[in-house]
Order: sequence, then structure tokens, then C-alpha cells
Amino acid sequence: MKKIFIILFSVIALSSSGQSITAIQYSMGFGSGDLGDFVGQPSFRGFTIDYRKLVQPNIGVGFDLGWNVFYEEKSYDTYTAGTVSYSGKQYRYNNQFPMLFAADYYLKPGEQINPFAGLGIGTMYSLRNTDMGMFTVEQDAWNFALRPEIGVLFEANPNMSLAVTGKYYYGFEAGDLPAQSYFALNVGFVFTK
Amino acid sequence: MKFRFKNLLFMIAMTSLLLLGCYPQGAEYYEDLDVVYTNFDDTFNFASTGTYSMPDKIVKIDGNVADGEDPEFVQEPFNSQMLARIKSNMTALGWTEVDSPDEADVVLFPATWTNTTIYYWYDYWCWYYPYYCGWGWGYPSVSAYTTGTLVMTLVANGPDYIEPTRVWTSAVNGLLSGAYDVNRVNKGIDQAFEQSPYLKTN
Repeated sequence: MKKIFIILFSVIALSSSGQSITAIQYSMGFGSGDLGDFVGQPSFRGFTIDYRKLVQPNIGVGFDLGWNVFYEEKSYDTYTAGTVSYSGKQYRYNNQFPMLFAADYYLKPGEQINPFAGLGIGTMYSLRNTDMGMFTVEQDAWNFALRPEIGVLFEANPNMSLAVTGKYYYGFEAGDLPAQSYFALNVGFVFTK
Repeated sequence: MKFRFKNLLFMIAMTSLLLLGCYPQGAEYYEDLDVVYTNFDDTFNFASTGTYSMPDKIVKIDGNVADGEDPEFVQEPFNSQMLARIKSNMTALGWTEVDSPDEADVVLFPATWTNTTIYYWYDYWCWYYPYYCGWGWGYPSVSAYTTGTLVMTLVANGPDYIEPTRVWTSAVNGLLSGAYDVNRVNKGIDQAFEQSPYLKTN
């Protein structure tokens, strides 16, 4: 893991010349696995900021930062564990903060429609709150995370493109939580410098 | 068009503010925060019992009861309304009320409080019957805001028990909206019994 980060840092640092691209995207999340079980509703609150240095015209390396908030209001229900039962409405929150080093491969660099695929590796902070009455149960984890991605850039002008991307985040079991995963559909702008 | 770094920072800031502004806020109404807690002793055979007694006043726990003094009680008509609801639920589960706690299989202690942290409270039942003087119950400590809690506890009696033994604890907790809202409390009382089917006696 550390070696991967060092290599990525080195590649970015050595590529002092050349173009860079920055993407700011609105992100919708769809939980899977344990996250999907905990919050059944999709998330419509999220964004990502991606930065890539183009080390080759068709290869960009950089980082991803993001935030997706999953939320669900559960109906009044009774939850039992052993001899203890609680009844009430639950308010469930799952915050995901991916922080990843990433590399993308662009299939049609310089063309108006430019599909690409990429891979991210790093960490994802997961913060889960289960609110019931005046009480909350808080669980968190720093998951080691992988994130494959596919997307398309639609060039509006030489400095700006529109982007549609799909990302799948998988954070391995850590801390208080089992593996956390979700699919994100992002739309936004990409600025080229 | 040249894209500038300060433009990027501005967009990031705006995006963050937008997201923070629509962060889900959770409960909207007082009722949404009502919680009913129950716990029981799974070694106790409720089915083999059938009589209970209960004080005719609901104690208000305020942490200030002095030696030899009676505690404060919930005012009427709320006191009677809540006790009637408790009795109807007990009756529905097959229990018969008796006057003397000495003759009852179990005693039901109802109490309310509105303070912050509760561990164990003693000396609140001396007025009812000397045997229960010095007894405290084990509702988990609560760090509350301005919540109100009604606690109902069933305590076993009889030759098998050297000292009062808690066999069922229930807490109906909610954010206070002002005066007693008997409808909310009664709903909580019903729920406490509904989620405790093991209380049914023969």
C-alpha cells in the first residue's frame, strides 16, 4: 500500500509539466451489501472532487475526494436483542468519505467524446449513526478501499467538459463496521488547465 | 476561457455548503422521539404467577427525597389515567390485582422523572411498604435533555426471594413538550406491554 502511494506521488511530482484536469461532480449513491441493508434508500446527497495530472495524453494520475450521505427514516418498530427490546422510530445515517489515489486511462484523448476507465486505491472513512429517541449509536471505520470507475467526458470547449461517471466503492471490513460498498453515479464538470 | 484556481475553491465551497444545507435532520415531531424500552429476567416464570399489587400513586423521582418524608407524586388526573392504563394492560395479560403487596406474586412500581442522569434510586417506596424500602431498580443510566420517563418495574415477592428482585423493567421515554401528554404516555404504556408477551400469565 505504502509503495503504491510512493509511486503515485512520484509520478505526479515528476510530471510537473503537462495538463491537469479537475472534476467537480454531483454524486448519487446506491448502497450495496451491509450499507444497502442498513440504508435501503439511495443517496441523493453527495459530491466528488477529482484531480488528475496527465502524465501521458491518455493517462492521468491523481486523487479523488468525496462525500456521500445515506439516510433513511425507518417506521416505528420494535428491535429486540436478547431480553431487551426497544420500540421507536429509527433515523439511520451513513456518511462515506472516500479519499483515494487514482489513475485513469482515456480512450479518445483530444476528441469531443472521450470515454475512460480508472482505478482508485486508498481509504474510505465510514461514519454510521443510528438515532432512536434521544439516543444515538455511533460506529465508524477507516476502510481500506478500492474503486473501479468508468466514465465519459463530453468536451464543451478546450478548457471544460461535461462528465458522466460510474464508480463502485468497496471498503474492506474495519473498525466497528463490516465491508462498506456502494455504487455512485456522478455528473459534473471537468476543467482542464 | 481560462479556469482559475480561486474559481475551483469557490465551487468546492459552494458545493460543500449546498450539501451541508440539505443534510438530513431526522425527527420532526415530539412523538418521533418516543422510545419504549423493556427488559426482563428470562429465568423468572411469569406464567406460574398471577397476582400483583401496585401503589395508587406514581412517584416523581427528583433526587431530593429526604429521610422519613414521602416523595412527590404525579398530579391528578394524570396519575389516575396512567394507572388505569397500566391496570388494563395487566388485566389483559391475565393478572389479578390484590390490595396487599404482601400477598401479591409481584409488585408493579410506577415512577416518573425528568432529570438528567439516573443510576439507582432508593428510599422511594418506603411509604408504600417497608419491605421495599431501600430497593432500587436498574434502568440504565440516561443522559437526557429535557426528557420525561415513565418507568414501570415488576418486582418479585415471596419465599423464594430474600430481597426484592426485579423481573421486568420498562421505560417510556420521550422529549418533553410541556405538561403531561397522557395520550403519548398511554401509547407508550400499551407498547411496553405489547412488546412483552412473556408477561402473560395463566
